[in-house]
Amino acid sequence: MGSANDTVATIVALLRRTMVDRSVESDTDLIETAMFDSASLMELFVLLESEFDIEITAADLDLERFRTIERIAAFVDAKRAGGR
Amino acid sequence: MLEIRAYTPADREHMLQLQRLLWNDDAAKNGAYLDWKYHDNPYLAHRHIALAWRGSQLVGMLGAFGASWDVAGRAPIVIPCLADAVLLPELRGTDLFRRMVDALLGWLRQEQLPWLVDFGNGEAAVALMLHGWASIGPWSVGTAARQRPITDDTWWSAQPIARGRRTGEAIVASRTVDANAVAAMAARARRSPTTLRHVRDAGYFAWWFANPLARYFFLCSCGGQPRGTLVAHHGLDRYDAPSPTTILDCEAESDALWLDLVELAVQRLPGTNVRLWLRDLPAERRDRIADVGLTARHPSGRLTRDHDLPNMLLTTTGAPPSIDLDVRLAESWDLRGICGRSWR
Repeated sequence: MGSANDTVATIVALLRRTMVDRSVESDTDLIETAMFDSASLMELFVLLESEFDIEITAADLDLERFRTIERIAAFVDAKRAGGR
Repeated sequence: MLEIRAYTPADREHMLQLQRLLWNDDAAKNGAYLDWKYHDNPYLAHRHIALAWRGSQLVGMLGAFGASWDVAGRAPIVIPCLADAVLLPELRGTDLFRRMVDALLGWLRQEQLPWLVDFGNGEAAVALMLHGWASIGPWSVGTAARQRPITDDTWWSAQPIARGRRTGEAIVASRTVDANAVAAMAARARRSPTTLRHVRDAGYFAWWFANPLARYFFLCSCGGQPRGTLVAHHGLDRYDAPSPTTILDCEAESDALWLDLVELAVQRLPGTNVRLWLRDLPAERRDRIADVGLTARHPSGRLTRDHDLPNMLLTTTGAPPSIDLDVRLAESWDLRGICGRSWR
């Protein structure tokens, strides 16, 4: 398992490759900037499950977990560590 | 600068134009639908429509209309349902939807209505769950997908009499629903004393089956007193469009007659596919839907795979609960006679 920075970098690359066509920083508020709507969040979940071999459940659905790339990375790392 | 205000009759024409994005391209039909949905129902004492304005331009709408639910033996309660969300395309993905929901929740709280529900699936359901709404589903759905759509509904208008394959019962088809017969069957259906169920009486059905943006199809085994009824509907779009023809309500005094009714509907309803929610069906019926031509799809347990299955979302308004039931639990609900297109 890589470091938290690795996870952030992987998510940034994933988003740039598939979903986001503009500059995105690890602390950009993806919701407030309307970079993500509900349709793209579902797309994000599918990508995260595939890329990191995790399962996102209904209990994980807290908007604060997905507000920035840093928070998404923390969520992914916790999932991979079996913490959630 | 966006401002959210409650709908007033002066906003009607603006709203009917905006709803061409969602309801129908014909503003006159939208007016009939608005009147039917938000004004004509005898049970819907609580109606709210939040409108979002950018100056004098209407840019968004979200409605909540009351619906009557009860636990057996107790007085009905009103639980409003979110509906008719529409935003101009450039505002999708912003927080405007959430702000309209918050406005509705505040108005409902003032009326001491403790809950708001939404029958949704897909991304909209996930978006609500991200904002803390409880998920009551998802649940299974039965579908009969046709290789070639049935585009002719004249069989129904001729009021033919068919025979049930299992029971031999005479079943009459019609385009006119007998609300009294459907209500009589609903009143005889078994129910649990610990679950909330939508009130299904003649007044409610008479309103429901008058939706001006839908076409209805009715089967009845009704010689003498009703022994079985089935109601289905399709929108005003073409029968070869992808939208489903939905079995809204089906009750019968025996499992065999219930299967006969659904089988005839699957064979004869117009459309590209016929759907039936399977939640809360007795096992004797749910387990035999393959016999009548429906293919069941069940939840996998994976959020990202199940998001297009039917679901009901629920949130609290902050008003005190009006019944001593944990409504956030799936087992507190009996959704027979309800479907996601019930009110559309």
